[in-house]
Amino acid sequence: MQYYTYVIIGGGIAGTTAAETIRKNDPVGSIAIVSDEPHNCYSRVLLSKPKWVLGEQPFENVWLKSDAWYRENNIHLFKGIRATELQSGAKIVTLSDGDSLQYKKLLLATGAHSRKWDVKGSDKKGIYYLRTVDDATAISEVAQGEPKRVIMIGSACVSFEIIEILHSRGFTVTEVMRERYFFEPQLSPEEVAPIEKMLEEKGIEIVREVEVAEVLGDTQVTGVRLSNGREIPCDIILPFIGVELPVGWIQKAGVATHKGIYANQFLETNVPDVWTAGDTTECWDSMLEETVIMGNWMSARLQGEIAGKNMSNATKEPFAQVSFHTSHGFGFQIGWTGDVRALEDRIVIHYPTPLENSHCRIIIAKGKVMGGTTVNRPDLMGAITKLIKAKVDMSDKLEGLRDGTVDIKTLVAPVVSPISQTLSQHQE
Amino acid sequence: MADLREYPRTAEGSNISKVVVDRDLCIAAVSCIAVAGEVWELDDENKVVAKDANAADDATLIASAEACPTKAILLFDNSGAQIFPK
Repeated sequence: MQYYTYVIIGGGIAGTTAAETIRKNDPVGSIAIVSDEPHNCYSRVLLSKPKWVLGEQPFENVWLKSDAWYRENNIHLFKGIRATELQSGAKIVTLSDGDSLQYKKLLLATGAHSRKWDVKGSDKKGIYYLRTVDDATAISEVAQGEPKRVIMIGSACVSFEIIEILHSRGFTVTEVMRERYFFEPQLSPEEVAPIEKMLEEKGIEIVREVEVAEVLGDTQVTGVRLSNGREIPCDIILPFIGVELPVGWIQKAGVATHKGIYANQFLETNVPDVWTAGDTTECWDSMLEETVIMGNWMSARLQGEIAGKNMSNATKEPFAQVSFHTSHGFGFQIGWTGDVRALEDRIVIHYPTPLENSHCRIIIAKGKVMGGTTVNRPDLMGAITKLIKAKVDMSDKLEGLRDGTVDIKTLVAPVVSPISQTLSQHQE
Repeated sequence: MADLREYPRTAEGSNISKVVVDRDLCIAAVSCIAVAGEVWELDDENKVVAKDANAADDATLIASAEACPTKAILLFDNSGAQIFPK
């Protein structure tokens, strides 16, 4: 058994930012990061970006921390090792190599894993996931090789970005989705129509509301049979069907979980001296005033920073952020700001945008803006961010937003960006 | 064509004379703003722009470029050579 003041489970951006922040505040406390991947911290964002996947950017650009960084900051990185058991009373984490770590303070930044595609024949060769740098390296090799026939399963950002990359390399792509349209439910049919039109003009067939019943082939994939009986030949399959949050071993230790690991606004779990940050975190967001699982880079990084500060007693700071993420492909720039779920009790306004192939939706709950989506209107993301933060009552402006007589850019005076406001709060 | 924005850096004693943002790469993860909020801000398109390329010392500026998950910030030294990403 080894003892560390701070034990961090997860070597991604949340866990690594937490370690970096702790080290700034506590120069002497011992820090260990346990990562189930055999790598230093890297940029998961880059793994679906065309220049990197196609080798136009150096492969090395993916690494965010060097061996020297861990050494100089006296952070011990356990690589390729999983945490398998937590004894929260004795404050001990058991590792997959049989060793165990005792901690004073623990951070669970375990992240998300690719949801495994579980259909008949899905163990054949030629099936590629995309979550880790090793997954991405395999896809990158395929993308840079001879064009193949691809079946893409799933219809969210990563699918969209990888389709564009493979199409640009001459691959034949068939998109097979359970949903009715691309990006459902993250975008509306109206927003997606021009995007799908472009995909189809480029020769990408979209097969909707269907599942794969069986993967065909001997040991190597040769095609799929769909639930409606249709067979589609292919050389490779990319099942990008979302993520799982593996919290079973954490639950067993008495840490409260739902879809993710429950935390309050300070990222504290229900168990003393145990915090959580990153994609697995389901916490109270005091900006959005609701419990959220964000699952994006921006939130994971900031949660790591806040957990690091709170763990090292630098401050007691809440997580409050209007996060956003974007996806690019086929000439479209799509943006999601804040909480974009069009839940039943929310009002969705299609804000008129005269530009061709552009769209903007504003999501309102209890009279206030909660989030918004933009297609080819990135200039509106800043305005939506400001409206969410300002918590302005929009009840008397809904009609004006619908007919475009209210300009959302003028509703809130220019304010600092969300992150710089958070930073200025840090400094207070 | 990459959409590049260049910012000259004239801070005294600095070994970095030019800062470039590749707007095609920028995804507004805002990690750079977290490290060097005095240098970087988001514009209306939620892309990072330098509001003052001289506002941080070299180490902070380099750290802010290193924090970018897409390596969208490029740094050049006084001889014009790219020093980040290496």
